Amino acid sequence: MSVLRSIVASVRVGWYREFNWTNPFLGFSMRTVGPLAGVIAASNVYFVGSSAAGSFSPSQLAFILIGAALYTHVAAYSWVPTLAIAEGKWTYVFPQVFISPHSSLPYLTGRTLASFFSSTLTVIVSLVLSFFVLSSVFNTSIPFVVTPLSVTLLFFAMLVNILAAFGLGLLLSAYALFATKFEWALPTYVAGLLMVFSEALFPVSFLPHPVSDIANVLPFTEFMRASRQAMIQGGDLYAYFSYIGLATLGGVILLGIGFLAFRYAENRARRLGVIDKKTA
Amino acid sequence: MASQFNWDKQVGLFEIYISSPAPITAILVGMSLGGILGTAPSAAMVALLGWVIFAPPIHPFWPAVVLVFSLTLASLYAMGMALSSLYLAYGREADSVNEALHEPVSLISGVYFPSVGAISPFPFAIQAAASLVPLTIGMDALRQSLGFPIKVPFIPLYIEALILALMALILLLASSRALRFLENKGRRTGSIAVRQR
Repeated sequence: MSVLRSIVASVRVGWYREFNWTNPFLGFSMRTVGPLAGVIAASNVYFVGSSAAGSFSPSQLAFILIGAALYTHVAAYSWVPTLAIAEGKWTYVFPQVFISPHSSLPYLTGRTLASFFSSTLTVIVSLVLSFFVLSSVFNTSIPFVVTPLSVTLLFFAMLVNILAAFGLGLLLSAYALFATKFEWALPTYVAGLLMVFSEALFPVSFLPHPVSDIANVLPFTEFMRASRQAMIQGGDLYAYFSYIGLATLGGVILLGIGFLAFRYAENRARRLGVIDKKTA
Repeated sequence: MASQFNWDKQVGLFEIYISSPAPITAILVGMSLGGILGTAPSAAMVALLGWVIFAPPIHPFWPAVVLVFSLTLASLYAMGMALSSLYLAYGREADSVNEALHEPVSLISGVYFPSVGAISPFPFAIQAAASLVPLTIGMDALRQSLGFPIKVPFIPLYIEALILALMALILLLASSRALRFLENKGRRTGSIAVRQR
């Protein structure tokens, strides 16, 4: 029960931090602008390129729209554990977490869940808005399937992806415990790699071997595929659940590796006394 | 660049800057030059890799590329210096606005696709507003100097270079004045090194 209470308290802290300590509506609006612009930018790149080549296809636009929106979602919350440590060291918050026993993991879990909830909301809003904006600007019908079942399946895929995203976050956090320079920038680099290797904007089969083989089995790639099966016309339930199964399996493995790496790093950091280390 | 002073304030470096005899503008210019030197190799590496992998059909006129790239960087860093005075005044609020505006500015300034000129998907009003950001003019000038096949240029290259130089000068002067004003005000009210508003 105490672990659950710690997680709930951390979710509240995370929400306040996510919304920059301002009122929720203003904070939510500010956080929606970025993903909305990102999704419209990715779609515009496709529109400009495909129009020049004379091969514009609404189904490819739907592919990019879903991928760009979900990429901003994953990039928004998978880096939160690392940020919580890097920022916490400078603001003296993270060493305080260690005063109470076994509280770092519930703290990081709560912060991640808070970011997951807020970025889910912002991404859904930006997806809906960009759908209407792009449909009218490009004068086309984007082939989305919007039914209670498809939306439920999309939310379920997002929930499943927490496993992989939190696992990745813990892996980066294990490094952030020891790093004193550029640890805050590391998630940005990893997020950039994910854009290429998670099928966010183009199929990973376009990548050369063996890179495409590795990208093909990443849980983030399976999550993208499952979400597209749920939301784009032509998808089917069998394929959706196949991708969800692979995303779950990959997520559990990544979470296990992340958990072990973080536990090892945390124990070692305690022994070496570097939990509050800020300079090399 | 704009958020640098806010970050320095949070970690306690800003007190050291203001207690040193160097003017704040000189410190910012020094940090800008360091920033340019630090990011130029990675930008060059990305450009080189992109060129090798995608082999774009370009015919660069190198003196113009170097000139336009330098002017764009100068005007962008000058804009960052001008905006850093906002951080001194508003702190965390300015940081949140900066975070929210990052993607929209990238969208309209031509980072991802030509956002001004005949092939821009934006209406003229948005193109005109976007042109107030040095990055927009800089990106269009870079595309022209790299020899991208643009049928009707938004503005001729030499005029864009002049605009960029003018922007850099105006923003540098504006940043110097704004910083001096806020520094004096902060010293008088005793709030110059206050970490959180």
